[in-house]
Amino acid sequence: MKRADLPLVTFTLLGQLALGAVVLAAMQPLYPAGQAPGAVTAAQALALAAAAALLTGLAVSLLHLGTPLGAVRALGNLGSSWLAREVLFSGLFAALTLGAALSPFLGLPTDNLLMLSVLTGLAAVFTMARVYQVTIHPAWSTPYTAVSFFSAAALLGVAAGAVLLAVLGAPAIPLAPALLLAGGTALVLQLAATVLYGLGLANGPRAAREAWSLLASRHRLSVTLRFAASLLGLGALTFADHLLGAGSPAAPWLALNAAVALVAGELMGRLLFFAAGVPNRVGI
Amino acid sequence: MPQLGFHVDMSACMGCHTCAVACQDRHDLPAGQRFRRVVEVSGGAWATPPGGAPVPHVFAYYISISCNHCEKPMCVANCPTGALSKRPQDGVVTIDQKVCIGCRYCAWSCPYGAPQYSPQKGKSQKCDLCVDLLQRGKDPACVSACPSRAIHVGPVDDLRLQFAGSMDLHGLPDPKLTTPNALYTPHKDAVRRERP
Repeated sequence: MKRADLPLVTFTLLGQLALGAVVLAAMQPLYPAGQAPGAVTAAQALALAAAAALLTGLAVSLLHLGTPLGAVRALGNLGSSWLAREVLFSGLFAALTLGAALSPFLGLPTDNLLMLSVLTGLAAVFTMARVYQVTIHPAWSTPYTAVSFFSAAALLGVAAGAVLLAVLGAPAIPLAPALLLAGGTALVLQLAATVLYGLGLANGPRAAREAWSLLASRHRLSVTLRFAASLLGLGALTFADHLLGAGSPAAPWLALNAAVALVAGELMGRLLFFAAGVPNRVGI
Repeated sequence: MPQLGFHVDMSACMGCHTCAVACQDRHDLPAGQRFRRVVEVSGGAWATPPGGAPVPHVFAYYISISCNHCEKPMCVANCPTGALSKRPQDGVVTIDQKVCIGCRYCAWSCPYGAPQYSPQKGKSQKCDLCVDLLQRGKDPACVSACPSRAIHVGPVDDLRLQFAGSMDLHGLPDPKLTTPNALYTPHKDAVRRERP
């Protein structure tokens, strides 16, 4: 992995965190009756956090450019460039999410804006995956990239939910079962996709085999730790939910640690994704 | 004007890198940035026949490579700004330096490593087939510098009639990816086959 890729690691992770958080915010009509005022506040807090994450990600992504002041020109080839489309949808996603967060002050319909945010967020993460899929890197040009990005959005959304639980407490928003279901499904999907991905790389062209060799030897421990962190995060969230129900003061602390473990798992996963980016090239 | 391209005779290339140096000099490129590169491909192993002494079954040859001004250039399709384009008059792929923002996505898109990022300029640059020299009736720097006369330039259809060759060779990426407008007369060990 090159140092120049770090802004892209940050941008993709923050974009996917934003999608997870906005999906969570859009679930507010499903929150129990009687909790509506608190739930609306939570949804807006989540939307604000998502907008902040997105805007930070977009700002950091400029560091990847050799000429950051020309960034607006990245919208110049929407007809064929997935990168141009990614920039467009990420910008729209940020604007709509910020609009949803500030909707009470602007007099705009929060629900509608959140739904539009979710749709543009899904489009943004889809285009994000396509950007990597249409390159000369066999480790990126697979369906695994999309699976990995969307499951990262789910697990980072669960991390955002864990923070919400820590702040508001279980009785206010009983989200833990839904979070655990979403997180567990995403993790199982990611594990299954990783096995298929590994098999595909190991039996692919030379650059793919080089990528597999990196993951299976030099980064073997990181691959193990990456999934261990996600599993630990979901386990900690389960336990935190139990403690929240019992009114334990340790519960918020444990929920926050669950969020940290989930974010750490996705960060390691993304660093590994970039590390496996061995290009097809002349001479191999 | 028809599509222009290069022909490289790999069987004549001795890997002296003169083409790469001439190109670097012509375009005033810093160390590390090379629009034309010479890549060594080597492999094989020693084999010991029953009761005999070890015998080398090894090979080595050179691929002089630059932009192939492809028919379906991934760099042009993927460039978010539209800075990369294929000139309609001769099919040469160029980068508009005023439009490029240095996102390096072209470098991720080209299997031949043609577009290269310049940290000094904050933009990507690439081989332009020395079109200014061609317009003056001269050859590109790499062509005129090659001591083996292994590199030729011209309308690619004419080159295909004049020389036997392929782009589907051991050491070159799959030509189906971008349909390159170039032709290589293969070194005897570059013809695609299973290696021992």
